[in-house]
Amino acid sequence: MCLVQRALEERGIVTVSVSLMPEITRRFAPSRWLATGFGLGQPFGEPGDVAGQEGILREMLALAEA
Amino acid sequence: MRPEDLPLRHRLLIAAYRWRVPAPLPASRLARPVHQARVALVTTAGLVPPGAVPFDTSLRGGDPSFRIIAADTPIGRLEEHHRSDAFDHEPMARDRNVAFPLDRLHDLASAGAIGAVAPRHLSFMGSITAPGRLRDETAPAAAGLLADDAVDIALLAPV
Repeated sequence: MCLVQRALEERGIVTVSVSLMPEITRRFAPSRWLATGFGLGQPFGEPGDVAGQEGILREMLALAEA
Repeated sequence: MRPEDLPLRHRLLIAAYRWRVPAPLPASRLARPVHQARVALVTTAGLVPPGAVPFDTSLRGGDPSFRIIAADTPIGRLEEHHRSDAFDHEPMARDRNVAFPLDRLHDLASAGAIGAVAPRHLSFMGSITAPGRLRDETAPAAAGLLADDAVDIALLAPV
C-alpha cells in the first residue's frame, strides 16, 4: 500500500491512507495517514454503520487539507 | 491492532520480512479545497468487478496487478479475492463499504462535502511479499491512470 501511496504522491495526487497497524505504518512515514482502530478486514468499521464509515472518510478528507 | 495480536504464523512472517523503507517524500499539496476536489478510492482488498479477470492467487510473492472499479459499479457485485486468512472476511461480505466505501463517497458528493467522485477507483491484492513489479510497473501505472482522471485526492485503505 505504501508503494502505491508513494507513486500517487509522485504524480501530485494528495493521498491519505488508513493504518490498521500504526507500529508498522510509522516505519514508512507515509505523507498522511489515519489509524481507525478497527481490525484487519474492515478498515472503515462495522457493516451497515453508515455514519461511522462516513465519519472516517470525513476525517481522512480533513487530513488531505491539512 | 498490534502485530503481536496476529496469529503466530503471521507474526513470524512480519518479524522475518525484509521491509524496504523508501526515503521520505514531501507530501503533495491540494490544488483546490476538499469540497471542490475529485476523490478516488484505492483498496488492497482484492476486489474484482463483474466480468473482470480474478487475481492470480497462485503467484509466488503475490499478484501485483490491479483492477479498475467504475464509479457506478454496484459494490455488492464486487467479488472479493483477497487470499489472506489473517482476517475475518465476513464483515466485508456483508457490506463492502467496510473496506471500499464507494457508497459513502457518493453520499459525500451528494452532500457537497467533496467536489466529485472520481470515474475510476482501484483495487489491488494485498499481502504482496515480492513488491518489485508493484513498485516499478503497476503502482506507477495506477498513479498515471488516476492522474489522467484529474484526481485530486486518493484515499487508500489496506485490509
